[in-house]
Amino acid sequence: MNWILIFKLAWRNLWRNKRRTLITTGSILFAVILALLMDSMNIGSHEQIISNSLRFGTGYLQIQDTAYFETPSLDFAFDLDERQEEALNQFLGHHAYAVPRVESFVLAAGESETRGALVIGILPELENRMNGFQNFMKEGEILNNDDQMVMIGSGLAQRLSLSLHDTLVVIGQGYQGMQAAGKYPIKGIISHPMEFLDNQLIYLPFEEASWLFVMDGKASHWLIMADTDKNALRVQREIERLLEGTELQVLHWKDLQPDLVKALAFDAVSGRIMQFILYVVIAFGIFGTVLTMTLERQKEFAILVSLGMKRHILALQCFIETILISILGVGAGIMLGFPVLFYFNRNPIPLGEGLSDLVKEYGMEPFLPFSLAPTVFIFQGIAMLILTLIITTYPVWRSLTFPVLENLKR
Amino acid sequence: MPIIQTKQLFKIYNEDTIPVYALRDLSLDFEEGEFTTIVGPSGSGKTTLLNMIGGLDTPTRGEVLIDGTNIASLRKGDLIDFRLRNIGFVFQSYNLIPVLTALENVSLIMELQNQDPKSTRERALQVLDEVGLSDKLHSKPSELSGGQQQRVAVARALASRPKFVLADEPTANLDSKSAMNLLDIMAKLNVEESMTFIFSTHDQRVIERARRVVTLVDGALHEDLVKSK
Repeated sequence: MNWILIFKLAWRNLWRNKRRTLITTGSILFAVILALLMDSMNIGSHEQIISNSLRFGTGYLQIQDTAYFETPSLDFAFDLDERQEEALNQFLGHHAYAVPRVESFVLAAGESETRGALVIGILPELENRMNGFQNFMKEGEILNNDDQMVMIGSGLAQRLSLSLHDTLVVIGQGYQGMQAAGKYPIKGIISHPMEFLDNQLIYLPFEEASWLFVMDGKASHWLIMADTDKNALRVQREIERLLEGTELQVLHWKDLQPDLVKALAFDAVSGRIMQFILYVVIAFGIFGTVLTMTLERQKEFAILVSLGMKRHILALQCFIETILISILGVGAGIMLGFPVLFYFNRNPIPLGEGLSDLVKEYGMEPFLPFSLAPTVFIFQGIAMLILTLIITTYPVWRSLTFPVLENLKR
Repeated sequence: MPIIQTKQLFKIYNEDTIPVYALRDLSLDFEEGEFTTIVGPSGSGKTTLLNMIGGLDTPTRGEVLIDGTNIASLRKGDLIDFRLRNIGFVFQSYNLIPVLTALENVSLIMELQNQDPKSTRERALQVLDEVGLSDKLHSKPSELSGGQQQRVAVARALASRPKFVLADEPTANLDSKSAMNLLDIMAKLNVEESMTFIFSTHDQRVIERARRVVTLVDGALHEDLVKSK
């Protein structure tokens, strides 16, 4: 098979009608850019939701008592022994770190208001590494490890009519039915990006929280943060081996937040449906060109076959023509689309006031984030390839079946 | 042994309803190196006969033997390959590939045969020189006159040294000067390369140059005249 001849014929056929090829390439190009924007925005917002949810919520992994997931009670708090802690630090290496937590719901009161609130016992330095909560300080100062003070969400402060340096009273249930009660001056007010947390959040230093809930240094759970999900999964496998035969387990964030996973999957499907519609429009554009290119050359096909070109080589030539036009359109689309996505990745579009409040309620930041994940670009490539393969069946079928003599007489 | 034989060849359209005979019991032999014309009025079956010999059409009955091979017995792919290696075609309307230059059009068949690129180019240059188009190597068909295009078509048919060349009214679209020029070239190549030529034509100039004239009427052989040298 003479590949040079086949490519030469395919390439020249593509440019025998420059205007038509340019219009088709242009339509693919713009559609690809549009699809890239849609996909990037979709994945970007998912990445943001997941990131927020991991940084401010579950972490990539959690070590907890096997009963804690079903019944998140302080009664299932635990200590890691020295051997476990040493092994854990060894697994984590440079790509991950562990953060002990004490979390429990309490009643929180100001001078005249009482509300349900969530106490989170933290190691401030590690917490800041995990979610940069220092950046959300509204008033006051960040906690120190040995403080007997609290930081609260601005929403909770507003609900309880509390200001900086006022006293917050908490009352709840501690470890194994012990009473947990305390009063703490407010050292800082944080404007938490996730509104539902902002309305109920109380940060206490880990040691103070342990004292409040009579935990004796135990943690309700440990969060593991990693630089990538892949590293998190690697660490998970190692921790699973470490915890074998104990009452402890390590859960991935997808196990911890099944509802979030489902919601994201649902949202991804709706995004894909929109993209599918876009691709159908592109497909008809390409198909129109391919159809014309095929039908207007029936006599030429007949000449080639009568001269001795085998039909499957002719079909291959038609196939390459279609693939080439797609590669041109998709390549140009990705090349032009990348700087656009890069710009929006660095400068996310701020949402308007009404929409901004709405997304805050769902724990999202009021921006339209754009992702530069390789999957955004790879997906377009694969989608266009599949589309092209479907479209190319027509010229391939036609070149394999057209009647030679009839077309030679044209 | 004749290079081409047709044996009791029939081509019948609408055989089940109102049969139309395009060819009727046609038995002919063509020897190597012949310069033959098939003549006859329109609808007499000239083109149909060439198409049968070229394997582009299938007979209703009868056989076409090329070098003893019944081409109807070949599978579709093998038949295309058979055409590629044995038959040169010259069409009435030139039928060059518009996206290829003269040189590339002439090289096309040899490239399809996967011949060595260097010898392909040398042979294409040689044949184009023989048809007087050395100065038009890189011209596309649209940049050539009708006569020049037909000379490229002849060069294409001859370049791969087929066993024989089938030419369907090759001078029909040419002016007198171009037609005579083309006939001179084909006559010369017939002698120099011992190439077998079979033409279908109405053109008296072609008929005068032919050494054998086969006349068809209503698809049947009317006369088979071999001129004395």
